[in-house]
Amino acid sequence: MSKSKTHISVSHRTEGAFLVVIPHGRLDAAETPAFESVLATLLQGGPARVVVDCAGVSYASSAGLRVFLSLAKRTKTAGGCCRFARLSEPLRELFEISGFISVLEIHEALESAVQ
Amino acid sequence: MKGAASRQAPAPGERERSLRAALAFCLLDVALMGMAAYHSNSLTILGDFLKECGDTSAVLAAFITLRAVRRAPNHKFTYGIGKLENLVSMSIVVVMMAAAIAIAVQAFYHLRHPVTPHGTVPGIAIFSVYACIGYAICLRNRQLLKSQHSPIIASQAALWFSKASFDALMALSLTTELAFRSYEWSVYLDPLASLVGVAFMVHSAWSIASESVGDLLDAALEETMQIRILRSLAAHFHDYDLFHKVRTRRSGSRIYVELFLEFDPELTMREVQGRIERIRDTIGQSIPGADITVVPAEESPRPPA
Repeated sequence: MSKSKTHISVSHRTEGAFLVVIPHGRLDAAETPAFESVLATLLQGGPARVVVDCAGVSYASSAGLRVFLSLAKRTKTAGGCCRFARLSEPLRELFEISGFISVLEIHEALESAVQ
Repeated sequence: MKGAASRQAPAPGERERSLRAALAFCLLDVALMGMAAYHSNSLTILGDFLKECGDTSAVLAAFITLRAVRRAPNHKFTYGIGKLENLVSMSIVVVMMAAAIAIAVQAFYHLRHPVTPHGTVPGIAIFSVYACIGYAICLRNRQLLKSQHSPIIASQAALWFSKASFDALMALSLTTELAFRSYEWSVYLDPLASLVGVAFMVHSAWSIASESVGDLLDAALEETMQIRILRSLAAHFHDYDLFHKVRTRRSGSRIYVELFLEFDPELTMREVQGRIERIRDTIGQSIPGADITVVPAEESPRPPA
């Protein structure tokens, strides 16, 4: 699945018990609602084990980071889990500044994230 | 479930003292310029006198406003009258733009009809002193801004930066004129320097206007502040169940943060209150002077916000 007409595109696939979400582009204030809308559709089925492959995310504003935090809380509370894999360098820096690095589950490789 | 942040911003008295000093300097400047305009019969000095009158009115308005917004919120203005700061900042923008237009008109007139300036040496001395005082007032305002956001002080810092830069340019152009007075082109230096000064004023006016309009329209806080809020939420990751949304805005020097969080329904009200207090304290420490409200949401109406 992907959304056109925006600068963020989101695709997804299933790997084992995990739903792998792959956003591509910038998660700024203008693009985040599109990403949020795709996530809402994907998570409608209830508890989920989600991996966000962040390799294609070049930048995330506070709006984008809020969606990540909200997603992590939502899946955790529903009994699932949310992992973030392959953070790009700018995104890793933002995760460090915002303190996400110490509370969110982060993996260097996608393979380890879906284990 | 609402209250002010624990870390306090500097006393408003500091901002008032800074404005009082600026006002005293402006009044002295207006008196001197008025006398010079009366005795010289010069269009340039008269134009500068009018500009100084406008600047003085802007500083006076800022001073009066700062005293007014100190009043506690009442039944009519329950959020206080912090936005008056933005409205006054916009009036300062109007004054700056009017001065910029007046100077530009004068500069173009002098480009078409060049005049040899008189009293260059005293002019260099006066403009140099004014530039130093202007930059000092601007620096003082910028120092105050580091400890607390205030639209009025921000607009004052921009106003004094443009004034001081204008005076410095005048001193520089007069010095250059003095050094090259035997050349014909030297008579164009003064109007050209004035036009560069106008560019400074327009730039400052634009930056004040864009910030004040955003505040008046309840724009969200800038990214650095948003990241501080997210950092606090990350620090209390295990204290809440769901994070719905965050709303932020400014009213004058006040910052308002509203968080919509969902808590474990098994918790007692007392436990929820304790968690809310801890979250508020953490945000309050990272955003001094903020008024933080945590709204405990009951049911998730929609997915991540």
